[in-house]
Amino acid sequence: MTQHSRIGTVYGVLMNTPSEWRALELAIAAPPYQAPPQAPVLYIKPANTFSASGDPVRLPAGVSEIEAWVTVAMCFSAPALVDTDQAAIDLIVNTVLICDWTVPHASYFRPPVRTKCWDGSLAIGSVQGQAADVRHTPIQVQINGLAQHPISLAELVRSPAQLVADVSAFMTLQPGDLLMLGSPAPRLRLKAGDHIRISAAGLGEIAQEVLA
Amino acid sequence: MKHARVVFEGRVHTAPVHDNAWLRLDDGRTVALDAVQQWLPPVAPLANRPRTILALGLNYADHAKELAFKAPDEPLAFLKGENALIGHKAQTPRPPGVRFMHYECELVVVIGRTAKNVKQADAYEHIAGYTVANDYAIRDYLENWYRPNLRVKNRDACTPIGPWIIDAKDLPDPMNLTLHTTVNGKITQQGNTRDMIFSVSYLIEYFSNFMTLQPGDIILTGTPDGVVDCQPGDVVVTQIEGIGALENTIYAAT
Repeated sequence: MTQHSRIGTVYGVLMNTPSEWRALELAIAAPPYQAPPQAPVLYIKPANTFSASGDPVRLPAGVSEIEAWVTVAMCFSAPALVDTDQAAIDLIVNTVLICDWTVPHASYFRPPVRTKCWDGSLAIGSVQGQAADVRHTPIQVQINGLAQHPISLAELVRSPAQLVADVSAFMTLQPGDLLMLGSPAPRLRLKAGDHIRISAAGLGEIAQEVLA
Repeated sequence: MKHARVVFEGRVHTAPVHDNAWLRLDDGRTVALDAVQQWLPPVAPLANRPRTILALGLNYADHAKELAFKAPDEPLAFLKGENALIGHKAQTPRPPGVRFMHYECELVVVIGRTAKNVKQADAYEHIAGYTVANDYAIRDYLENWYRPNLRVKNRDACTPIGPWIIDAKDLPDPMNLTLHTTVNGKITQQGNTRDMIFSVSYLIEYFSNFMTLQPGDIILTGTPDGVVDCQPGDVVVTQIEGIGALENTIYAAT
C-alpha cells in the first residue's frame, strides 16, 4: 500500500450503509440479534488475507460463490483518537480501494472466522486518495467486462469522522491501520472463472480473477 | 528456556529468565525479577505485517455451560488487534459505569514456523512456545452482531500477556496444565487445559486449513469456568502450571 510504512491492523465494518439496514429490516429486532447494533460492528482481516490487484482470489474448499464487499478504507498516518474531527481526519487519513472477499453468510450473529479470513481474501488498492473525496467518488465495478451499478459511499450510517470517533472511543487506531467504511447490500457474487475490476477516480483500480 | 521482553534503564531487552528469579539482559547484566521496571508483551514486534491474534470463545465445556451455551461443533474464534496487548504487571482500565468486567485466563500458543495445511499430528512442530494471557471482557458492551464484538474484546490494554514465553520443548504436554486465577489473592477460577473442547493441535490444523499462520502469530485458546467481576484496584493473577503467573491491576478509567 505504501512504500514507507507497513500495513497495521485492518478493520472492516458491517451495517454502516443504509442498504444493509434495509436488507435486514425485519430481522434486526428478532433473534438472534434482538436489537439493532449500538456500537460500530467491526471485524478484522488478518495479514494472511492481504493481496493486491492482479492477484487471483481462490474459492475456499467447498465454496462455489464468494461475495465482493467493495468499499474504501481510511488509512491513518497518525494515531486517531476520540476527538479527531473531520478537519483532522482530512489531514491524517488517506483512502484506498478495497475488495473484501467474503463467504456468503446469512447470519451476522457469530459467523466462523473462515468466512472472512482465508488466504488472499482482501485486495488492497495501491493508490492513495483523499479522505474528503469519498462521498463524491462512486466506485465503478465491472464483472467479466460488464459494467455493474456503481458503489456509492455518499450515504453512510456513520460518516468517516463519526466512525473514527466511535471506534477510537475504545481502541486507538494506529499509524498503518486501515478502517473500511462499509459496503452496500446486496453484494456481488462471483464464481470460479469470473473477473472483477473495480476503480474510482483518484484511487486507481483492483482487477482480480476468481479461481477454484 | 523462558524469554521475557523488558524495559530496563530505558532500553528494551530480550532477556532469558533463570531459576524463575532473575533475568540476563542483552548486555550481560543480571537483574532480579523484582527489579524489572517494565514488562512488555513477550512476543517480539513484527517488522513487515500485523500480528495475527486468534482467540477462542467457549473452548472449555464448563465455561460454555456457565454461559448457557451448548458446546460448539466448530471452533468459535475471533481476532484481535495488537492495541489490546500489554505486558506483565501493567494496568488495565475499567470504563466508568460498567457492571461486569471479567478476566479470562488462557493458554497462548506462539507460532514458530509457517503453518499451512498442517495435520494435527504435525502441529507441535509449528509451535515456538507458550505464554499466558488474561483476555478481559466487558460484558455490558456485548451485542449480537459479529460476536464477540470488538467493543467487548478489542479494547486498548485489555489483554495482558506474559510474563514470558517458554520454549515448546520445555513444555512437552500443553494439554495437561492446571490454570487458575486469583483476585486479590483469592482463587476464583480453576481449570485444566485437558478440558479444552478443541485441543492445541486440533486448532492448528483447523486454522491452517484456510489461513497461513506465520512465526509470531498467536492463538489464545479459551478460558475455563469461573469468571467474576473485577473492580478498580483489584490485582488479578492468571497462572498456568509450568509457564508462570501473569499479574495485572485494574484502574478506573475516566
